[in-house]
Amino acid sequence: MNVFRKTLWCVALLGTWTTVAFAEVKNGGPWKIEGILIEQAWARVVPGGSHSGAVYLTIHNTSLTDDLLLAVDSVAARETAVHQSVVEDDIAKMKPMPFGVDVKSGAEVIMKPGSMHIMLTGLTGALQPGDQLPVTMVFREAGKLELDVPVLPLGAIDPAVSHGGHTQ
Amino acid sequence: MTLSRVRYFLWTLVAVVSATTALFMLPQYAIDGSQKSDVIIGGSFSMTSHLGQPVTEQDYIGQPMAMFFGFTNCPDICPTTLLRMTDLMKKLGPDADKLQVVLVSVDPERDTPEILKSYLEQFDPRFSAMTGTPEQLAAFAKGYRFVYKKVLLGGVNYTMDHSAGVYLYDAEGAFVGTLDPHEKDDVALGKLNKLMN
Repeated sequence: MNVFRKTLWCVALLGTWTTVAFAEVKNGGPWKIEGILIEQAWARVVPGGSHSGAVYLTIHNTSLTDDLLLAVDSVAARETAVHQSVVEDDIAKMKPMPFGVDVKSGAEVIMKPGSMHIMLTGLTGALQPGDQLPVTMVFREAGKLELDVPVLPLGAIDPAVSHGGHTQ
Repeated sequence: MTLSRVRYFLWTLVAVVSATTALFMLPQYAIDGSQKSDVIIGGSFSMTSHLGQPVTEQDYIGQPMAMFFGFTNCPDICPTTLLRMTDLMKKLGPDADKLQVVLVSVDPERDTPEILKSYLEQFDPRFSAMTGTPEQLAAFAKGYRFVYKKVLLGGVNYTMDHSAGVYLYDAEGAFVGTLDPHEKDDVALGKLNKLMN
């Protein structure tokens, strides 16, 4: 009986591992921790000569509690932060978000080109299509989540290209 | 005639004259968006191309030009603009060969010609770029009415605020308008087609 129960646990555990492993090799997620679900994550190729990159993704808060994205980090960059690109009076600017990013219960936050993005500066190497970029996200309620974000070719799923123009 | 009547008559005259003038002026601007602007945006400049060659405004005369501002360490907006221009060039078809698309670096401290050359390799091969000394850039910006500002991000890190529009010039080097980052492709293509024909 005891042996049977142990075997069952092993199978269950293996099953979970396999699921997790398969979920992680998929392009762009999804990744889940508590009520936070991250999907459609991708990083843009960083053209030669540049040391700055951007990660885009969608955060869903499926829990009943409001959450806050407190911090982002990547071992591949000297600095990682959430920024908001804005055009004010015909001037393109980037604004840091020092108080984090609100992810209300039931809401989603979309990071996309020309808008909110995870900015990486001082990249230690080039980002080529097919690379996986390690990114850590820390949520106040849900905790810490590690992602391996796929680097997609320039213009691959860029809304600026596929839909013509971009919105803030 | 009392003084107030004279005043009343004169103001009416002003209103009539203004309205008539406006009626004659308006249609030209309303119908043809590419009407040359009276504002002088241009003049001479002296910069260095991504191939390391010295360039002036004379090198760009003879063909229409789409010029925009950015820097290679710009993670989001600049690649987005370059990708959009790459896409618009595709949609223009063979006509696109007539258009000079030029990225002006607003980050002369970091953007050397070599860096710009390497950066451009990811985009349409017809694109070119220029950089210069901070003084050359400042003089260029003054004449061509674009702005840029260094913004510290903490530590040695910084970003640049810069004019977001794509400035359009005809083959004689006259400023004709801008592409707005938020307009639809067909609007942008309409402006570019007008510029080239």
